[in-house]
Amino acid sequence: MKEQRLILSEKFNNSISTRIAVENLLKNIKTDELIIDFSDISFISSSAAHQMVIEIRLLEQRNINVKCENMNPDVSRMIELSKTDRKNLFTTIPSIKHSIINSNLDLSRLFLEGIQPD
Amino acid sequence: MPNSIYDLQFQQPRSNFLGSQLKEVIDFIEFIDSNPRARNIIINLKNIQFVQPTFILALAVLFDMLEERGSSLIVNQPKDGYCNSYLKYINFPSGIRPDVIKDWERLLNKHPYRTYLPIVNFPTDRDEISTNVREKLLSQINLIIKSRLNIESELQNAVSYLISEITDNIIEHSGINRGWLMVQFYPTTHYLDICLIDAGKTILGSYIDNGMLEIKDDATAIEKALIGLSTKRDDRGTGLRTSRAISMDGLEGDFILYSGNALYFKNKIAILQRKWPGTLVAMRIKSKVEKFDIYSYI
Repeated sequence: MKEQRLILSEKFNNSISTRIAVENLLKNIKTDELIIDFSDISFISSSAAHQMVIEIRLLEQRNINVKCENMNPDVSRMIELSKTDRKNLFTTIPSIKHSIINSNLDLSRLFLEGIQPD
Repeated sequence: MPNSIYDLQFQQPRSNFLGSQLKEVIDFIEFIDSNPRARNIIINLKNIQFVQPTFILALAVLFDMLEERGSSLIVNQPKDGYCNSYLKYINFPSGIRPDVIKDWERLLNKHPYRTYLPIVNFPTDRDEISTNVREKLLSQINLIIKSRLNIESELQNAVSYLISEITDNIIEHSGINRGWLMVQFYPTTHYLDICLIDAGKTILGSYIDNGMLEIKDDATAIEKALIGLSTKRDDRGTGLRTSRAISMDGLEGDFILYSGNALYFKNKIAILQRKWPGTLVAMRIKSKVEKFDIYSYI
């Protein structure tokens, strides 16, 4: 049985940020068993984590056994969240008001709201 | 008149509000729309005393777009010495291009005590070389945020999250080969500005290219994107929705999304007379918030 160990820190330094990076990494895997080693990876974005879940499912459909090892708690939590329904109730947007801006005065009024940093 | 020289005198934004930064940018877009054949343009910044990422990064993107179209542009530097130096430090207008400049890491780390990241102009191509450069760049940015900004780890994660999600959106949806990024921290008031811009096909353009023809205008497109409607009709599409929630609800800040002629700001969508030629995301977040848990918003 062929086994491959993929040490992510050799490819990514400390973080994995984009979908395409995960897609490129896992698209040409040819083995019976893949071990993905997350040592030294301190951050994975939500998109990259979601893509990781998709790619692992695709590998498993090709009868490749995939194991993930050495995940730090933040990375592990992001991967677990990516497996769930991603429509989080707490991030539902309140109803948005629409308006048409026809004049410079309207534009200035719109922009003169907000937080000043200093 | 194509051979005329246009001296565009930019004024200091009227306030430091995030929205105020866009007013001068929109006036510049109005000039571009009204003078499509203008070839010689002076970007006159002599009256500018202080710049923030949303204003200066948008200006850099428009500068690049006009140069691509064959215009010749010159920057007339600010009279204010501090502002003049700042523009040099942030590499205005071209930015740091990590796929072009070999020592981009040194440039990014050149001023370790400064509270900003210079303008970064990154490749968005999907090939392995561009992807590796971009991942290395984002890793480096995460390390700089960690070492330079002196913020708690939960907030470091939030900043990394916001940058990576919007960068990912640019790669997946803009249809253009460059993206732009700038970060500025205000240590005395504990605010952080993050701005990411592309000059691509807009959110509406991305929905249309993915066959979602029922979405017919920019305002509907940005509303759908903020609700979390994926162009792939699956459970993707979370980047803008969660970034808005983290910025506004979690970190008590502001969030601007300007794509085509629609602008989301303060939970309103305004239809403007001038179109941003792509998508602009500007976030202002508090860097000190009690009881912030990023995972509540993802």
